[in-house]
Amino acid sequence: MYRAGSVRLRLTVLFASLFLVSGAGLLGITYGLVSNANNDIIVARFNSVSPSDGTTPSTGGSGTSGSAGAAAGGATLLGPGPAGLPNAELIQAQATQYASDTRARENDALLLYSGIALAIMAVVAAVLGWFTAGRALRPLRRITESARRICATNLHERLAVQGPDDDVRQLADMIDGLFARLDASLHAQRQFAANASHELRTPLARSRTLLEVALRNPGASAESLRAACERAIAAGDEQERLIEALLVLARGQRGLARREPVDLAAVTRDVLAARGDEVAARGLAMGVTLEPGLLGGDAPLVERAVANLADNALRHNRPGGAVWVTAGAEDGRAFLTIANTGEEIPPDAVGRLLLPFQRGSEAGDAYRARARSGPEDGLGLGLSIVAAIASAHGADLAVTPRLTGGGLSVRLTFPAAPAELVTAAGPALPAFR
Amino acid sequence: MRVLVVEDDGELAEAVAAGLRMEGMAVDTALDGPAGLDRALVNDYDVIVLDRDLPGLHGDDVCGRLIAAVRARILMLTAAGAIEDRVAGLGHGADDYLAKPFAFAELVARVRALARRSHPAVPPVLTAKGITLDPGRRVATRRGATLDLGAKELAVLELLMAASGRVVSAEELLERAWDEMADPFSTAVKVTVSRLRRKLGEPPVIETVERAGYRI
Repeated sequence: MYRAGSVRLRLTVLFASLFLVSGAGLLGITYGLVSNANNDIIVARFNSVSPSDGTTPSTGGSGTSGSAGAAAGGATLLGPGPAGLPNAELIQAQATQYASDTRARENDALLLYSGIALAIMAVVAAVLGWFTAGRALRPLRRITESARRICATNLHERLAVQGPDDDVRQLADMIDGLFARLDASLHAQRQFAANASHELRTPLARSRTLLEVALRNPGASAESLRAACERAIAAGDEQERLIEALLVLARGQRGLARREPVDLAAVTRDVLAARGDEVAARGLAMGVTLEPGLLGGDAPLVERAVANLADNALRHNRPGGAVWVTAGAEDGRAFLTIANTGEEIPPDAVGRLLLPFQRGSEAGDAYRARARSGPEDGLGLGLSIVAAIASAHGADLAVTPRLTGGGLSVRLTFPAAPAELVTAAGPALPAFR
Repeated sequence: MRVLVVEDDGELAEAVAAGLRMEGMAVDTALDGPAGLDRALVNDYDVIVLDRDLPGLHGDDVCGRLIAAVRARILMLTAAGAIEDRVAGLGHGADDYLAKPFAFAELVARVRALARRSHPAVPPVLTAKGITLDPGRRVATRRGATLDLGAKELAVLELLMAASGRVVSAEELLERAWDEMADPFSTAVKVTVSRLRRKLGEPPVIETVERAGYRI
């Protein structure tokens, strides 16, 4: 895959260019140092063999002097013999010229051969760089391949990279974590879809069988058919309520479209007032303490959550039992606590109560036949809807079994309302005392 | 034929029971796993219609505990109709599987088919000594003439004919043709057998074996 190789290519080019630059710099410095050093030497030597024509020894500052080819008493001197002493300047000039030419040729040679060496080594460096980059990138490429395969086939697998705890390993572990979350989320969705379809088919089967059996009855009268039709309609009602509840659940899971000021105490008061008859019918004692608590949220959803909690507390209670409701604000956060007596629920069963369609059947045996006393009651969705509404509002939901007298204690704590909502609701608060 | 319906949806259980009773079967119901298991172990059923999602004890577990212990055939019902669920249900030992919602006629046909599969295998239409009985159509004929038999009479006749000459005790007749509501001390069996004899006419086919039971 050459798209993956583009990083490799870039690394190689980068490496080769860096090498070229440093190599050129190295050779340039060397060249400069070498040519300067040679000049100094030559000037000094040349001055020490200059003829005695009264010339003062000049300092080695002149760069145009040649090499040390003109040695004192050397046989290669040009020009006339000892009689031509006045040829000293000529000798000096020629020697200087010769030295200078040689000097220049040597410098050129140094430059040329340095250049060739640099070019060769640059190629070598590029090749080495290519292989090194490949080796360094191989673990990444392997991770990409594995991740692609896992995504396409089976999310239960993990990369599980062994080796030292370096960047590559951390990346792989991070990706494994993402896979786990994706897997869990997909599993939850599948579970929910399976459960929802199951729950919707049961009332359907019921109404169908009721009607079929009524029709098969050889002694069917208008009365028996009428009764069967009414029961089928009731089964249809249950389906409608279930669909409605599922939609609320989906809406809660989707998040809030708007936030308006809501007083938790006022909502709770209304919910309890609507259930006064049921409380009396069940013979329950109620302890209610309501202080105002402001939150920013979706009023119908908040009401639904409170209603579900209240219904649970009433329904899963025992005759002569009690329900305690407390609402208020703590550190600016509105909260609601509902506790009820009832059957004992083991701590490990609590988690399952929050899942959709669990009806607490293993926790206790309160759910024999399908009770139908409230909106989501008996459908097994009540608490999971509360959980979804809580999470949409950013609220905490804590469900704990009560130790004495059985039952549950549920606490819903909302985040503090945003400042602009507090001022909007300000004047209204004192009235809710 | 005696059937047990184990289903946590009370209305559905009653509707199925009523429909099966119309078909001449004796039907008991149970609303959760443990009750269903108890009932199945105590009484002798031909077929058990078992819902998978039961409170108290999952249908799969009930099935697992029953297959070795009782002779009844098990038909599993469930609202989850996916292939994996069918495979799982059958894998737990169920003899047949029906997804909800179902056509009642199909339920009846499958229950009857399962009841025939006990040892020894029972043919769909029973014949013995000139009598022909079609349990599916609920029609009995003798020498070409249709007999006008009531539900219990048909059930007793079916049991006697299916026994193929084996002696069937009165207790067994009561167990297999009446539901648990029947009073074990009543004379219902005797009365039904005598009515059946009368309707079958001459020559008599049902033989009383002293202190043992009846046989055709």
